[in-house]
Amino acid sequence: MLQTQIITIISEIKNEPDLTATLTGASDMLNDAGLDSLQLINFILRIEDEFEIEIDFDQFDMEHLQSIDIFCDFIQAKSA
Amino acid sequence: MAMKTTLTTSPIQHQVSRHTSPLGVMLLRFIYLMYYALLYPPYYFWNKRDFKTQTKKNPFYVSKLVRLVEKHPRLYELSMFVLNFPRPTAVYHFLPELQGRVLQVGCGTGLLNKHAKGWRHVEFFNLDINEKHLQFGMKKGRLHNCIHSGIYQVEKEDECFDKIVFARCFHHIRHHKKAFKECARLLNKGGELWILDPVILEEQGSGKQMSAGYMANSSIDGVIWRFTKKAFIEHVLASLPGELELISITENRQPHLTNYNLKYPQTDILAVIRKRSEGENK
Repeated sequence: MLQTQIITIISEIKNEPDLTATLTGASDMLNDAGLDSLQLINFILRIEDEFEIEIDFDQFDMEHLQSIDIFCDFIQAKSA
Repeated sequence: MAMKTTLTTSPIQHQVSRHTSPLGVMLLRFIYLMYYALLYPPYYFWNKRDFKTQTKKNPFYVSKLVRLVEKHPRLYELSMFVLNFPRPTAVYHFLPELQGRVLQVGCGTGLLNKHAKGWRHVEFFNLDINEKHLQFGMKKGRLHNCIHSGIYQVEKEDECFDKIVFARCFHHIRHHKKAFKECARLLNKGGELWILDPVILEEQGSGKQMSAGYMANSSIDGVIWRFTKKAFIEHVLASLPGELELISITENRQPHLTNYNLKYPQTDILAVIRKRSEGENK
């Protein structure tokens, strides 16, 4: 499931396996998941590789990170 | 003096050379301090402070300096002079002479072409995504042709280049797997891909403990990859398609400012990757 995949990637980027148990679809990716700016760049890179999409850094709307569910919707729209 | 070492556990040849003139190194460090004293205040107040504020809201924010350099080729050349002091082409000095049909990825304004003007047996095909830089290079007479494109999808037929060179641009390319896949298509069998790029000297106490490469947003250079030599090799090996093999790594800490800055000491790497010939197995 996409949500599980995203949570797994976040926990790998942060090197915190416990996050797979604590994060949910409603979790905010910056405040709850705690992705800092460096981790966020590398998270987006990983997402691009995993889902074979391209994300324009210049046009990226930070609102897509308000929750994991919102980010999943963003990826699905990009992949369509 | 260069040392050549063939590791018994790896087929990759390694060669290391470190600049040994203490006076030259002292001079570079002195120049760095001068630059820092003169340029850092205006740099901080105009670029860095804005960058720090904006990246808190948007980690992908492109700094004012990077946007200006992308738009103005002369400013790009000035920044190359500052960063690669004593000469903007100092970074290419240990690159061996190229021969044959060579695709130059990320050619910029043609500084490598300027350095290579004495090379008799090379035909460069110059590729870059920045049209303004290409036009400047053509106007200066350094680029005799240009391909306005990224490296992921190049409008050229299969197996049409003897070599592909990434001269100081590899760290700007986001997806190396995609880039290598396209390079494998474009290269003749037995052809070579050369990557000339800086890496951070972990053992010099740079403060960076990096087990893997990562991308970061630099206020001077945009969103770029950062590697130590070990992380670079691992990353390249993990990104190569089956048709390409890494055959040698040469390290040479050339005497220019980027390598001897006091914050993140670096060294220069030349990686040579070969496309397997017909019938050759992995």
